[in-house]
Amino acid sequence: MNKSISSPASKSIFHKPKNLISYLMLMPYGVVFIVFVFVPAIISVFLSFTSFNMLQTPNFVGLSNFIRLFLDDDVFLIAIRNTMILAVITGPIGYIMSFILAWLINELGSKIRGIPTIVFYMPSLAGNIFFIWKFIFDNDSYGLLNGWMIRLGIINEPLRWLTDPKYGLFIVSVVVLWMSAGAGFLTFIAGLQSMNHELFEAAAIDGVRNRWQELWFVTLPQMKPQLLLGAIFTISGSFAIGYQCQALTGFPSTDYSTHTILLHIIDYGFVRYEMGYACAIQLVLFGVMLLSWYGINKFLSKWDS
Amino acid sequence: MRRFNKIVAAITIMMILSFQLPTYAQTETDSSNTGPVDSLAATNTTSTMIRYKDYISTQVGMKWVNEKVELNASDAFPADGAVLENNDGTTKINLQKGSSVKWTFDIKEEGLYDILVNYLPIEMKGLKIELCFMVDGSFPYYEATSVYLNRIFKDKSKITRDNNDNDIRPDQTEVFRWDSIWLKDFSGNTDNNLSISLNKGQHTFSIKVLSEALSLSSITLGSDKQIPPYDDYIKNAGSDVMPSETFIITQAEVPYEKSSPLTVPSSYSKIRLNTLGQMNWKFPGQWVSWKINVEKSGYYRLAFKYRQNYYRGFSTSRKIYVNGKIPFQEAQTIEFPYNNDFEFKTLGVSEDNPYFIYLNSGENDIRLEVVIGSIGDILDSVNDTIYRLNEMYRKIIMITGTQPDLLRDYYLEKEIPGLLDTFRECSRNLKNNTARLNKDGKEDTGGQAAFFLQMARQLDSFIDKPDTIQSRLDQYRLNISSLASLTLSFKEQPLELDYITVSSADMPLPRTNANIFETVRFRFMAFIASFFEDYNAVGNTYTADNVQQKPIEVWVSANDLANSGVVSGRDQMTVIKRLIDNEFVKNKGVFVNLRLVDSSTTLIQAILGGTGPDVAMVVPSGTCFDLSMRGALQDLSVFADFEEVKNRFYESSVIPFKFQNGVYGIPETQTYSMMFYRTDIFEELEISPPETWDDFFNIIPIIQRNNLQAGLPESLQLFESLLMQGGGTYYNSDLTATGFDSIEALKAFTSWTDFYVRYSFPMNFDANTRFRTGEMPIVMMPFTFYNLLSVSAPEIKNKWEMVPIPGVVIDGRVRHIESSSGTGSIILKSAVEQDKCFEFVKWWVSADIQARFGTEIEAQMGPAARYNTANVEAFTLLPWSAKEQESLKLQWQEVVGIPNAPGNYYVARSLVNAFRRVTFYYENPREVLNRYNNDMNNEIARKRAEFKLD
Repeated sequence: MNKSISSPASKSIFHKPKNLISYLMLMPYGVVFIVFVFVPAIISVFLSFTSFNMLQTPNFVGLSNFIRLFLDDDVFLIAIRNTMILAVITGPIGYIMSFILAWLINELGSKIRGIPTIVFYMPSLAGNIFFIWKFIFDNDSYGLLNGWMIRLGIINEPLRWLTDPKYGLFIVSVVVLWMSAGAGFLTFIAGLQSMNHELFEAAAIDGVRNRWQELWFVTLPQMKPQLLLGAIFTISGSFAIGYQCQALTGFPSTDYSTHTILLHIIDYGFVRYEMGYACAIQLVLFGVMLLSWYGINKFLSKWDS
Repeated sequence: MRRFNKIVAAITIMMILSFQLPTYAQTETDSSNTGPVDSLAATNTTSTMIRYKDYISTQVGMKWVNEKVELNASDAFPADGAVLENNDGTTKINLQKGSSVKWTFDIKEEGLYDILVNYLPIEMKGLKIELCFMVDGSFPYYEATSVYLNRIFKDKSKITRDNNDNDIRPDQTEVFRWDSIWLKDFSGNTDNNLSISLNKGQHTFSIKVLSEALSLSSITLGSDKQIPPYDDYIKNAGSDVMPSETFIITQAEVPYEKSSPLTVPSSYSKIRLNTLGQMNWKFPGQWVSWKINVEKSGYYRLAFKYRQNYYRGFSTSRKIYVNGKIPFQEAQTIEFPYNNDFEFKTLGVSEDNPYFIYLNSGENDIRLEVVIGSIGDILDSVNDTIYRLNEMYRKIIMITGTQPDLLRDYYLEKEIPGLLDTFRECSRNLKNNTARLNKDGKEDTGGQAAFFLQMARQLDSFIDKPDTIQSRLDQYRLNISSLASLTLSFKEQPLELDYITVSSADMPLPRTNANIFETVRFRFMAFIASFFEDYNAVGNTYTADNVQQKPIEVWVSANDLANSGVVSGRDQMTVIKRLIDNEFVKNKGVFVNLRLVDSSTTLIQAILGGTGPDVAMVVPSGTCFDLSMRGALQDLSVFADFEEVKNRFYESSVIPFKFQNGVYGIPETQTYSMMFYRTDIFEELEISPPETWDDFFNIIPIIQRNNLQAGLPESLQLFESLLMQGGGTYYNSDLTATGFDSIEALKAFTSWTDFYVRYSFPMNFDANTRFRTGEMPIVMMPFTFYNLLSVSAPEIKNKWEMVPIPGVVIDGRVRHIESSSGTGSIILKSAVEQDKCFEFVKWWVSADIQARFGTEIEAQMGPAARYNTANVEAFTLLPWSAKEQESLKLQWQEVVGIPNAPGNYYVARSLVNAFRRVTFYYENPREVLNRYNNDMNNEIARKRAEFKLD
């Protein structure tokens, strides 16, 4: 650590030209961050206590948005449930899957390693590529999956994969899992490759007998920073699921079967133009995300000690 | 924009000619036809008339004649309003829509005669001139019932620049001059003229005008077949007629005349119009001519700098006329092979062996006309094959259903007479055509011909193992549809020309492609320029500085444009802007800036930020309602001449723009559904198109018994129509609640869900494909489906019709009541000069401007982009045939507008949910509707409270 940066903050920053230069260098990003992220976030906190239709002046309404949100909004409860289900399924499963994949790929020779890496990273790299699932789960009797299932005699009538509330959430989970090998996956691979190999030899001498022990006692502890980073990516990712649901099952989905908190915000903000209420939802979502980060941090630091 | 053009072009396949079904085409079911040519059509009906192809093949032993028979205006018998006019010894006949003229004449030489018409268009609506002709009192063949004459256009001015330094496409102006044209079937797949076979003796020949008006000076019966081959043409060229040291470049983008309005842009930041053609010069019969001056008369080489990067592996073709004549046989089809970059094409066998063409000293007229070339015959026979394969598909699924039982033996080859024979014949046909394709194509055509072979191979294996047919039906269907889409692209002949050179034999040809440094430089400059260019502004940008007054800001949202059914893009915006600059700004002295924005969300955000426009166009009625409820819009009904403007539309299109006592938008487009049915299948099943829902339910069992389907898309519009036909309303009269607690609403909801629950209609389907295969011989679709079908389904041409949706009998009359959707123009409350804004909106929705916009868009993008204007008068000016107009009007008058109420989005959403509850889980419709209706009413009440409406 650089001492000059960690010097006590009690003295005014402008007295030290060294710090001034550092702040100047921070400025381009700092200004953009403050203007486009920080200030709007603060404004949205204020707006959440108002009724605001985007065109006329907001009216202060006190806590009524939050009261309505928790006591009188059935759809919000559905959205919370769906978000939780998706977060639980895609969060841990996606996280573990990414790690196992990264571990397996790392075992391959360095020449062909790149190929499976690209194959698994592709879905999240290519953004909207999940549209091909729309093709697979097409509601038409000539849709890919329907066509095959009818041909094999499993079903007689086409299933409405995307509009039937029974299947919506399942399909979205599948697609999100498929896309989950994202940035976390890349950091895992990077982490595995920067491993200190002397430790493996030392561990072998100390009596590590199989690969599982090696993974558990040597590899994982070494990868802690990457694991933490991956966890943060996964959590923020799983709370921000929404766009995929919208694109696959329509907006809003039948009986809100794949409605997430994010979509609830969009619904109130840009369909009903009730920005105050949307900000209130957003604040709650922010709180939930903060809590889970805190939880993960706690968990990992406990594991460390 | 190029990529956009290509996408559109892929849809827009055949353009102006193909969609126009003959106006009189009459079927047994449509007895109320009041088409304009009853008297002429009475003798034949379309179903009995033979095709030209068959007609000509029966004329064995007949040859094209050498003789010419002149039918002069002075010898004619005019009728039905045709007038003979005599001026300084020359006679002409003036023909209006509906009038006809007849000649009686003697034929001395037996044989085939082509028909040359010498005509002068008369200024009217600007549609294509449509004629039909009869020989000896009857139509000789089907194609004679509708032929078209070209109009001639010219750039009104040079290419000018707007004040953003972008080139402006010059206005197109029609040239009214005498021209002569051999009658041809432009919609067909041949470049040959239409011929008639005449014996020795007396004959009559008559012509009737079906649309527009023209003057005729004479008709020549004869033949243009006596063009010499090149070898004969060049034989008498001595060295004295080989000029030297001449090299003339003529820029293609400044043509002399053309048969349709076209041109195209390119530059790194500014729009430059420096080539001509591209995707809007591709339909047979379209021509462009240039004037080229040479000092010395003699034989010259002609070369074209061109690009044809549309159809890999194919050539596109042009025919060349020099001073009005095709110089030699080889000039009838000049092929321009595929190339990604600009390339030179020297007229000739090869670059080293060019053709020399005789040009007079002084001005020469060089005309290039689009021809189909050698691919035409192949197309004809493949289209025929596709139709027959589809017919077989239909016959198979009539027995097996669309999801055959794989384990059952259907004995299809015994059940369907001629099944294997047809397959055998089609397979042979496809193989022959592949061979022809490979012979004709200069480059690798393997990729394309592979589709032919793939289909043929499947047919062969069907013949070998007929018991596997049912299990491979899906693949069979896919093969047919890829074959069909392939043939569509064959017909287009796009070409982009940069310039034409005329050079003497001793001059070399110039380099074509920019070298790598030039390319890099161009790209780099384009990148740099992108920081400084305002690409959102369209056309002239006015500021308070350059025009001394505050211009009106007009916004159009690209998303809404696309959703409204109007194909969206910068080209359309350019058309609007040109109309604004040339018509509105010039005449009214009010300056208007046009900007293309992303979506209506952008609009709302901009209004919030105080940077919104004064006027927005193409706004969906829902958005307009949202804005008006929040007090952002100007009530238009306060303007003095609002009533006059309102009367240009049906009430139904205005209603969705109302809020409380005001009207906040003026309709531009309106879309409603029509019913499309396959005449051939209906004939086969011996049923007629349903007039009422009772009729509809009567024919459903017959259709379903044959394993075919009826297509009613899962859309709210159907429910709305059923509701209003049953006498229900969407909202109560003061818009404080839905009208769904009524018995009428329950009935409508039940019959809506019954279609899918009880009759198990498919909910999701690709109407285009299933309608073409005949699997779904009856579908209800927005009327714009008509345009799609007419360009994308040549194999079922004339085998389908568009009629109003089924209705109910009210007071002894069938009422086809229906709902619609639409877009409109709005004026923001924040606009300073309200009167000027209204003046602008009034101008934009006027019949003349709407029609001109529609016509120009269609000229650029083809009939698939036909404008769905809400203006009643403008609609009649669009190129719908008389019969189409009649049936659209019939439906349109019955359209009922549904008002918007606060919470409208929630009503729509809940209805869909309720519908799915019933159709997916078979719940009781009454309970479901009731439950969701409560939700809807709660939301409406909440919204009303939010806006303090109670």
